[in-house]
Amino acid sequence: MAIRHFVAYGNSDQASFRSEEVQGAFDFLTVPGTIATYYAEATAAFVLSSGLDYVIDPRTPLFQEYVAEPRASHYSLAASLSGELHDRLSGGATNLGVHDFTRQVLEEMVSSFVEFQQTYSEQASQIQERIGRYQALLAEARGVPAERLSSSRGDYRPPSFILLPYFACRRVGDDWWELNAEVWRLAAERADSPELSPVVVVSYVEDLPKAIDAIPTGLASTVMIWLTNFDERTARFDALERLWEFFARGDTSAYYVVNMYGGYFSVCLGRVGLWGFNNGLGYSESRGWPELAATGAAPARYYIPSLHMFMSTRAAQSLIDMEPELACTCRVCSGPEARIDSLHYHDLKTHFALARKWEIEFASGHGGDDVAGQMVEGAEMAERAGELLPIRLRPDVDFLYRWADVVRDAG
Amino acid sequence: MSTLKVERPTESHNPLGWAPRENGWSRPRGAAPGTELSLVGLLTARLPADATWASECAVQGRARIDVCLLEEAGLTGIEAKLYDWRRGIGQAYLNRYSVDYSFLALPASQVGPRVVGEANRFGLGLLAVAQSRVSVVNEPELAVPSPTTRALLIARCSGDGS
Repeated sequence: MAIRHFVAYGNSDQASFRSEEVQGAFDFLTVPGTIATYYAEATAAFVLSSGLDYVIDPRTPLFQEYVAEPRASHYSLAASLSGELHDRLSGGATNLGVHDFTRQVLEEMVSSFVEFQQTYSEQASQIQERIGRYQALLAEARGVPAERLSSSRGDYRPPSFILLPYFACRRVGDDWWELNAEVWRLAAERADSPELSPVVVVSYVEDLPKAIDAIPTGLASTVMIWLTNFDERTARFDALERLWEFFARGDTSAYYVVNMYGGYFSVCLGRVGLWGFNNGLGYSESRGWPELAATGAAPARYYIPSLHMFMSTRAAQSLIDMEPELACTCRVCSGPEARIDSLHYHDLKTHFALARKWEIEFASGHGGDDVAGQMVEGAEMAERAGELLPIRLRPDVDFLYRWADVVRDAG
Repeated sequence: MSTLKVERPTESHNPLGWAPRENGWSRPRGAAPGTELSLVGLLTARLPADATWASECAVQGRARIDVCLLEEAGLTGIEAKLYDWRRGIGQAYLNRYSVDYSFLALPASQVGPRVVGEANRFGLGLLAVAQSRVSVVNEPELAVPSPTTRALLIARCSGDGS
């Protein structure tokens, strides 16, 4: 079974998410808590009418430490989490520390946001008109009658997993970590604890075993992980290898582990036990902390599947002009008039979804040597092509050699 | 609004009215521009009075071309850089995907044999900008731009040009 692909929902990507091609390229939609609470009715109508499996990300790290200029969506999320948290934010608090998250606040956050998720689909009856509008748009995009959509039969799914609030932290045992531990203790005391998925956050790969061990019994077996100091493309070989071995050893065999921010290396980790990974349609394959607030519309850029990396559209075109073997053959890219530098925003999104689907199928359908060989072959082609380009346009593909060494050695 | 008709050019062309090099290029005298904005200002101040042009032209994503100049002979893009000419060569090279002729403009003090060589290698025009004049150090080769982005830039120039 191939790794499960979670894709983050963004308002600007609605049209892309209606596409059958895009929907066929992922398994779960991840709805940021900010969007779910700020554009509450519109988001619920979109999600519930889509018939997609989905989860809601509580995004609680938005309120940790320096909160410079909260946006309207931050206030709405805060209100859904805790009245006290919302009051502090509204009162102009710009630096929320560990001590602001008292046991009372944590209790409120857990109970409020768990209930928000558990009852999410029940709001369908109050927003029927809006759901109808989204069903009509979806039916139009699909070219089918609205009656044929699953949601038109009143099949409104609840979230596939209920995620607990979480806090970013640097090391196991630090002050923010202790808040996560408290959230888990509170959750474990609830009657519905087997439904509640913990989110494990650490900065360093070496902390993962200890962090996973700390999850109390009784919670759901689906666990999200976020490595705040880990970017697959810039990670050193030893960190990549350590992460690979962590899964290969079977330390997580009791859990279905989902990496909240990952790209093709995470796809490959599916070969040794990572159950799922999450990213946006062309963005968010890693996320540092405390950089979480620095979000917004994703840049228009092109994903080169043979290199497993993004480039600006014109830089990608220039590279592929020098080495056509690097070109993508997906439906979007293989048209007779298709040029990367002419692709529109939604074409870029659809291409990314199709490229990722190809990556998942390739990595799950081939042996380790083949997967590594494809990486090395792509890197070598890119380096040869880069020699023909101005120096600043040469892609840095060193990460592909590091990935290949990990994937190949592990077999 | 201009009604300039722009055909795809079929041959090499010096689209600017500035002096080409004569018997080799010599560095113009005068203080170098202090900011990229002033560099662009010096360039555009020397465009013909009836030129159709626009600055900060969005191409795709976050990419911008500093100056686009529209003539019957074609569309010219100019990338202005104060210091990092290697980066400028890269961006001017990418502009070839959007315009017919692509120039890199540098302060005259930054123009040396290496950047001239790179401009030549990649078919780019090179402009040396000084307070007193703008000189064409290297003439660009005709590029093969994306029809879509070229049309977008032509519309932008026609609508916003001064």
